[in-house]
Amino acid sequence: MSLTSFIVVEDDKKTQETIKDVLRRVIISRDNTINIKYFTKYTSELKRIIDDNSTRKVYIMDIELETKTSGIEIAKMIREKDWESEIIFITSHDKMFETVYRSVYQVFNFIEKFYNMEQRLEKDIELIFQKNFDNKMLSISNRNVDLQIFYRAITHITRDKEERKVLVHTDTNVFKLNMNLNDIVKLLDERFIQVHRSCIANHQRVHEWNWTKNYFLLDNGGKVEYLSKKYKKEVEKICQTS
Amino acid sequence: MSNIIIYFILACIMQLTVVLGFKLISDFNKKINLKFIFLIIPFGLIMTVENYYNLSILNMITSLITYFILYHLIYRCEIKETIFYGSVICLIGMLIDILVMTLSTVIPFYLLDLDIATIRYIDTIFMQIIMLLIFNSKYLKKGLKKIYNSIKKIKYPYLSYLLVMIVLISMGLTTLNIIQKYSFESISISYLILILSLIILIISFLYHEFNNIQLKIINANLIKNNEFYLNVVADYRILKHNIIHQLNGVKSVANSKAQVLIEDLINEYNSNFKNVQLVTKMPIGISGIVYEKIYKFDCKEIRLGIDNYIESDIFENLTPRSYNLLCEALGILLDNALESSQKSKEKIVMIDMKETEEFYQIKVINTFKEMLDIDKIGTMKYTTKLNGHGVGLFSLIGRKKLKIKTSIINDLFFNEILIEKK
Repeated sequence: MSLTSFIVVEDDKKTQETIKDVLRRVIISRDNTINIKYFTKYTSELKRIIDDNSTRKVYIMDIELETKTSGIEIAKMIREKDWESEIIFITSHDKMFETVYRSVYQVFNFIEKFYNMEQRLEKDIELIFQKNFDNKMLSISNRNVDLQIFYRAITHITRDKEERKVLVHTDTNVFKLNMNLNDIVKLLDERFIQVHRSCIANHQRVHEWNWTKNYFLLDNGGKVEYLSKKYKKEVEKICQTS
Repeated sequence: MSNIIIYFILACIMQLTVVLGFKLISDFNKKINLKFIFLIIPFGLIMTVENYYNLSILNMITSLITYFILYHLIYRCEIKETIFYGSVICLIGMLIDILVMTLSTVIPFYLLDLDIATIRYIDTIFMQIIMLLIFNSKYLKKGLKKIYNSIKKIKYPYLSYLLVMIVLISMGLTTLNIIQKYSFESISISYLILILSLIILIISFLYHEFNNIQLKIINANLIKNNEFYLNVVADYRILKHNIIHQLNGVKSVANSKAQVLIEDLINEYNSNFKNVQLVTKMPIGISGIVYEKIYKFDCKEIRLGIDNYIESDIFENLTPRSYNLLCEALGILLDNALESSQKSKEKIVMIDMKETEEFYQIKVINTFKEMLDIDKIGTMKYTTKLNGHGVGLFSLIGRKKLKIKTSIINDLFFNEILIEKK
């Protein structure tokens, strides 16, 4: 999914003008097909844009809007369905919750209005353009829980022999799912390759393959001792082509 | 045999009338389909048997019950709505029945040379037509809607009392009407059944009231604790303010080594205070629980975020039972979130609260570092806690007036509770 639009929600005219200048400078010179929309508050039109999940957007929003619905509230609405778009907050004070919101609502950045706003915004937009957008997710639901994990966060998947379940390993957690490797592979994309009878690896997250000692090292430093020579040719072929 | 068939047809016609009547006097626009036809047949049979054995007084109770079941099955409306509109239809039916019966004694049917069954047949058809005409009245519909809107606020036990009163009035009217025809025994049996039902209802009502009193006592203690915690926070704030000022004073005259020590002390005093201060952002009624949990976990490292969009008075909008349930649910979710986030690198817990006209919505979001069995979350005895029992989250699932939704998005655990307002 490519980046298609920038949505600005700012009720202060002066700040909105500054954002407009930055966007003109950075975006239009790069790609004039990108759509930019400006809002001063939460409207039905903005709701329609948020609900439309078919495109990826960058939201630049003021936290303190002079209406009932704040920028934070709008961010929550976005994250109800869309984890692919980027959110940048423009704020004038109260950095108390910054870290919390950054993690919980995957906020790209908080930019202070009165401290180098133009430069910081420009830099962030450049970073967003350079960023390889990869927000595909593994989604699984059962009666009690909905699970969504970014593909890029999954390092590898192994089989739990005792319980006949699969273990999805991420950088920080392990999720046990009631399915087999063949089932889960159907829910993944081409970056996931079988490297062992009981293991599928995300080759984009593998730092080193050690075929003599049958293990691979992950980019986070982890070591996975599930590597079989049987899959060597195929793995090397995929790694070379990608 | 022909009598039974006539009784059965009459019973079905009567049920058809009351079901259509319900549609006419309420706002339900459900189409009448085959399912509805199949539903009225068994109820028609029950009424036929009662008619055949002359159990007219029992007929009143069974009619009410069968009608309520029919309304509920066909229209899928709320119980309160079913009881209200059902009772109104029964009362109107009773009054018209008396009217038609009286008229039939005045009209000289003997001149037409008709048997009793035919007269009864004509009576019933005539009665159904009058009922439908009355039910079709716009004024009646409007008036009933107004009354229902006020009755909606009445609690279920009181509504049950109202229903029994209507049954009693209806039975009185029926008795007046038929006392001449039936034996003392059949009337006594019918009244005995009614008195027994009344006793059961009174016992259940008393039980409900007793439970409510207990809940009110528990809630009063919760409210007291809430106030106490808020006062403690205020005192703590003043104390901290004074100590930090005094330490800063000492720091300004201290040597460099002592300054470092004093700086450490100031940082220590400030570390958990941010979280404690946040508690005051919570709506009154919940702050105490959150404060208690934060302190219990001694979570200086945890970064707590609170977003509160609840403006209404929780005590006013929740029944004592719902308030109790909210406290219980929030306690369980916070225990889980705080313990779970402590193991993670980011150590984040976010409480997000908002309200709609019907619900209070509270989301508890936390980071975690676990091995989670997705199929076991929310099931009995599944826990990731060191000293857990695996009962907490499980005990909340399926609770009346509370909806719970769990989701995991990357490294965040989302638990959302929706609690119904009064």
